Amino acid sequence: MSDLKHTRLKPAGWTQLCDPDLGVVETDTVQCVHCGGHRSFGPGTSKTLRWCARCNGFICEKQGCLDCVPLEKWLDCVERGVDPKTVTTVRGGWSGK
Amino acid sequence: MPRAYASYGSAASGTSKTAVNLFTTTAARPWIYEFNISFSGTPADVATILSMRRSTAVGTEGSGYTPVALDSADPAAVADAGVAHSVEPTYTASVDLWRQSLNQRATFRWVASPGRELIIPATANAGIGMQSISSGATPTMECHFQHGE
Repeated sequence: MSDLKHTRLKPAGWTQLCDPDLGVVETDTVQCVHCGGHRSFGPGTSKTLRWCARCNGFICEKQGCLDCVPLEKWLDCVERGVDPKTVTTVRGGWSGK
Repeated sequence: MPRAYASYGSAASGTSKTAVNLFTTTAARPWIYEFNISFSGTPADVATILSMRRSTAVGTEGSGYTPVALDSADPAAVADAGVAHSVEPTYTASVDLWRQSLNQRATFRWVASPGRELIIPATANAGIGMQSISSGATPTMECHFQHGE
């Protein structure tokens, strides 16, 4: 049985920390729709992450993720040898508060 | 149907030390759906900052680790794993796909939901590596990747 204390309806991932002092700590993760990175999700997380209105998903706090280049487009650019920054069309992020 | 593979690497933690780096070719776009990190050696209270980072060059491997197919009937993986680096892979600055500070006594595991994996572009030598950013001492990191392609 999971001992998750705070969950999301559709988590992007799941983490398990086994710590001698804390015991087993499980968390859900959310995924940045621009870089594909994951972040732990818990109370207050949505206030620290940003939101891209074009991609309709969380983006992380990194400066490079503010420009809206969806992950699939980024992968496509890298595979074609195109600089992903050249396809940026809009500044996509703002505070999620 | 996607094929699944396991890779493993270990290295003494420290400043910019890679445990394992999974890299690909133009023939496949692999995705990491699980990783585990723990430490070997005498348990101690040592804090290490770890990061999963995108790499664009493989550096110099001391040895390689051929990913093991979880289904023995599957062919060899297109992606390859580099371990025991004498020259670190080239990582993209400020792109941490996952970042975590861990006590040496702890063990950490991450698993992606289907469709939300860490994807490596199908570009020669593009990869994702587990790197210790800094560490209070040099315990040996033991890192395990599972990927599909």
